Amino acid sequence: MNKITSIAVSLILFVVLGSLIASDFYIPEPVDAQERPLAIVRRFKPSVELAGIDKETIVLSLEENIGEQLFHGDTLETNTEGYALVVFMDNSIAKVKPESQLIVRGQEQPNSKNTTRRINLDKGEIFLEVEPQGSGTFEISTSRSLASVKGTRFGSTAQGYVWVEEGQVDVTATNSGETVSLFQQMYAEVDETGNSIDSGTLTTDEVEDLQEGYETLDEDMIEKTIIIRFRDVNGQIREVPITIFEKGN
Amino acid sequence: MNTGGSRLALLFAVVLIGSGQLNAQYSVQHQAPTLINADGLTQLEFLVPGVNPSDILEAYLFFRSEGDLGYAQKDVQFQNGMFEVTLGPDELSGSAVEYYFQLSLNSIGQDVFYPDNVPAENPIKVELVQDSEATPIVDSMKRAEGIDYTILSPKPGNGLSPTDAYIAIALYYDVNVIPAGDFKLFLNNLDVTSFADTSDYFISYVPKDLDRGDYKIRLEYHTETEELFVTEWDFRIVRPGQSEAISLGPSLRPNGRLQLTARNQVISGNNNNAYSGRSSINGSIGKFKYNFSGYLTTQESARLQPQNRYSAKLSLGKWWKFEAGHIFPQLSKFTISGRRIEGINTSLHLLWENINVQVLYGELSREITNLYTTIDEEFVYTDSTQTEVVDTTYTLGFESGGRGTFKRNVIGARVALGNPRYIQLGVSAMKVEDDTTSIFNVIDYNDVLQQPGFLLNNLSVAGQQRLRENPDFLRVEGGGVRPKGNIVAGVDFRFAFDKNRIRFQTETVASALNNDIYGGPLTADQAADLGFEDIEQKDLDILQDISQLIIVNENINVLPLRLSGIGTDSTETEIYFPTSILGSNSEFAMVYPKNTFRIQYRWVGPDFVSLANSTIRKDIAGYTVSDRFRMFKNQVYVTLGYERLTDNVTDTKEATTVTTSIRSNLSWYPVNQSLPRISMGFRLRNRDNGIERFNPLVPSEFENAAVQNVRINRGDTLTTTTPRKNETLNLNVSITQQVELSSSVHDATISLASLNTTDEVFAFGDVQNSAYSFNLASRFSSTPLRTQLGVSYNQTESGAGQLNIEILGISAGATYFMFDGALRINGRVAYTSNTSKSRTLDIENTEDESFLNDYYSLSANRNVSEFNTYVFLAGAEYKLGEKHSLIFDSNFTNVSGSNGLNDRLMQLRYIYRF
Repeated sequence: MNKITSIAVSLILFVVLGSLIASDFYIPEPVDAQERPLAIVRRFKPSVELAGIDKETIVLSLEENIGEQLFHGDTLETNTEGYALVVFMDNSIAKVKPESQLIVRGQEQPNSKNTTRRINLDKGEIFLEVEPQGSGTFEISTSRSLASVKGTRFGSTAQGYVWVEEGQVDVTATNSGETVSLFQQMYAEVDETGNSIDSGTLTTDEVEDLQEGYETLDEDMIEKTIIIRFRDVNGQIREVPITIFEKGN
Repeated sequence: MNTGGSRLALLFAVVLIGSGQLNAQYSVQHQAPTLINADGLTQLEFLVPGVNPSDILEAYLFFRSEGDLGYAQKDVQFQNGMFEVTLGPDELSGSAVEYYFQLSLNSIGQDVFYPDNVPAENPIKVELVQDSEATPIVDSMKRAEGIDYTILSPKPGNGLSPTDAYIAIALYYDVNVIPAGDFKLFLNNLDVTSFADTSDYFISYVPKDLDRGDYKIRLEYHTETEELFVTEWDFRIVRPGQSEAISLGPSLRPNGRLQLTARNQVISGNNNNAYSGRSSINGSIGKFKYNFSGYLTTQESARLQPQNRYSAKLSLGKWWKFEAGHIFPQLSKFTISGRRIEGINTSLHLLWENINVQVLYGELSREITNLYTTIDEEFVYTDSTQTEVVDTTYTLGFESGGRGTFKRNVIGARVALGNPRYIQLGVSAMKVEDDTTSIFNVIDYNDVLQQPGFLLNNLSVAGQQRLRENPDFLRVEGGGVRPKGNIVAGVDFRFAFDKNRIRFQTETVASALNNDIYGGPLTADQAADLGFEDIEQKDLDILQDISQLIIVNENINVLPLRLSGIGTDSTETEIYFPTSILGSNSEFAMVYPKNTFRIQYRWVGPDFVSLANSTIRKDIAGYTVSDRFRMFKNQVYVTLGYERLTDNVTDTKEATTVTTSIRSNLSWYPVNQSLPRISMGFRLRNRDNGIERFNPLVPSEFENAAVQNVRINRGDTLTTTTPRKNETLNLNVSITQQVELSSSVHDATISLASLNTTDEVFAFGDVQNSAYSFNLASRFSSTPLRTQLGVSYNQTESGAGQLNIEILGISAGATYFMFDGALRINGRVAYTSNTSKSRTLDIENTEDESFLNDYYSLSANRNVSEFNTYVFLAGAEYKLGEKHSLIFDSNFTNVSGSNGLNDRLMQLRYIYRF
């Protein structure tokens, strides 16, 4: 036992020290100057900060920063009142709640929609509406979990809680590699150590609660027709079709 | 005029000149234009024959662009015997304009309209055109080849408020394939490229000061020789106030869901049909939210806890929450934490969550009546001839599954001061007690006499007489059901700072459990029976006083009475506080994005019990430390952990087992999907209770197989606690690689895991387990198909050959989508081969009287069990629009072998969402 323990401790020390040293000397994988951003900040509610590799941190302004572009490595942070609606190049949408911080990573190819994207969610909560894709990938990683998606509506917190409104999400506990598949109205919670996953189903009420707040920055207004039915002075039933614009999803 | 000419003139009049009949006195004639030029002035004329100008009160044109909810109005002038009005470009937008005319006259009490039939509902509608639309550009342009795009904003056809106008499009092309050129962006045929933010693959533009109306965006690609068309789409600028008034406010209409399920299943040969209905409705009015849900099933039975369930949940902002029905309240970790009750749970959070009060009340379980058989009278004879009865036994049994339970009530509360995100101190208490009157329960014969019924059918008169005189002679099979009482109370404290990233929380509680509350609090006689003859009345009074919280009698798990001064002349009974009923948990955590550090200390006594939370591990103390950090741009995750736990926390056992674990894990999740994802980890756990393996009475080669462990004390051989010393090493590796082919993507995962336990003091304590699995998930972009293939192999050997299990599993499945995803069909086939070989442990050296020299050995006989399992699953889901779904699931399972089974299940569900 003592021998194995000493070997294990030595191995851990080697891994830790080696990793820390290597991390200091790590040179990020060079990313070609990208012509196309990974995403744009389509809407936001102040204040939202944006920082990036070799960029100064800026506070987004409603006058100047509509459609601010996000590139690989950019960090977006919302304050206590801030919301952000991020649209990716395939029209996938990330809705970012207040007090959240995320780093956008990914690789765009000039002539292909096959894009690799990952959001590192360091704190806070986001809700995603990921477009169904043939081959591109979309992932949300936290310190505990890695959620891999293919066309779905789901939410994630930085604390490793993932819930699915629609579609399918594969959630991996980053420590143990354990993976569970979540479907409609299911949740998974990865423990603090990133080792185990607790998953289950959600009631409609719980899904509603989880959706709370995300409607703040909804999307464009979609044209819809509603019909108002009433009885006129002659006692006849009449229908009035009215075209309206309402926030779409 | 001939008849044909009259008819033609009439038809012409109807088509070109509308007319309105009004009060048989006035009619309005108007010729609506075929098109209206949105860029110019448009004059509309209305003729009202016979109208007297002095009779005119007012005349209005009500108009709106198509899509507007309300009408704007404009004065109409009476000039030259005509009512005339002019609309300008600033008043016209969108693709069409709708209008109607209203005239108010002094002479009649009713207004004159054109059109006359509910004009606001049926206005005149005229298409708007731009000058440029006369010659569509697009039709004359050649389309650009090899350029793909994604419109990001605005979505085609959608509306935007003027301040939200933003145009963005992503472009995809191979620069080596298309001819050299430039992209040009047009807004309503105006080239805005120079104002746009353009790069080779992304173009965005923020138009300023757009008026209300329809707009067209067009993207072209201009080469040296030609101008190519890429794409074109429309959007609309709408008045924000108008839009919000229509639909952006919170909707009061509730949402809901109804699900009906019919199921037929044959499990182990038993056919069973079940029908159920589930519904929920929820909505909100301002900060007030509500939710009602219910579940009804034909599986409901009085012999089970409730299967039909309902609940209502209400909340008002952050201030008030209320739940009723079948709910899952949480008070604290040690009291109740997610256990279902039937009752109410409500909480108030006032003064910015600085004053928090929570109360819960209800039933942990409902009553289930005892189903008794008749009292069995059995005679005991002296010999096999059964001639002389020496005794008679009386047994009351239960029918199969007839053992009942009491209704178990729960009441609890928590009061906390302070906001939990900063600092909070809380006090909580919970009482759980069985309702002793809820069921008919027999403890002795006196209880039977209260409701004798058929219970006495098989009991002789002599037997009845004897039991009447000696009620305790009646034995209840398995012991009668005993009502319990339990209380858990404690305090909790927490604080956090640095935006809740650094947190500390601690909770300490005490519990008491009474395993039989019949009879009430301890009496002086009962105390004397327990050896506390000198207990004072004031102590008994205390027990009587606290009986409102917990009944303290001889059946409590820890009696808070002890004798002091034992061995002296002044032995006394005193009330004391037993620490074994305590439970405590403290945690300190620093949660930062790149590093999470956590240290936890827990201490739970062996007598801690919460009837509302039975999953708490007892008799355990120790700490756990873990650190988790990320490196290399969050692509590498490292976890380190150390844990040391001990039992025997109150030092009442001969030996203390110390469990020490160290663990680490390294995971690599590269962003680049062409690289594999790797996760590997290990855990090393050691258990040692400090007892040396020693038994000189068995052959030395079998010492580790000895049944008993001994020690020699002053020449005497004494048995000891069984020694425990083992080491377990867990290793796991998982690798996932994505492979992309022309029109498909495949995720292949290989997982390897092993567990090896080496027991140093028990010959049959070793365990080896290996598990390998391969999974291939495929998606196809050209076909709406997903497939999955899996192979797994699991091999376990334990007890040095006692048990050997091999399991091989193969599965394949596919999901196919049709009709734009409206229909989903899925199927899955799985095969499993199971082989197990087992040998029992025999005890050797049992011939002599001494059991100290016994030792275990593997039996010579080996039992081999082999069987295969085949599972077929098929299902489909059909969505009828947004609101309705039909889902069918079926499952057929075949188990081969001598005990072969064919289980099947079919289920049909209908879901309605509103």
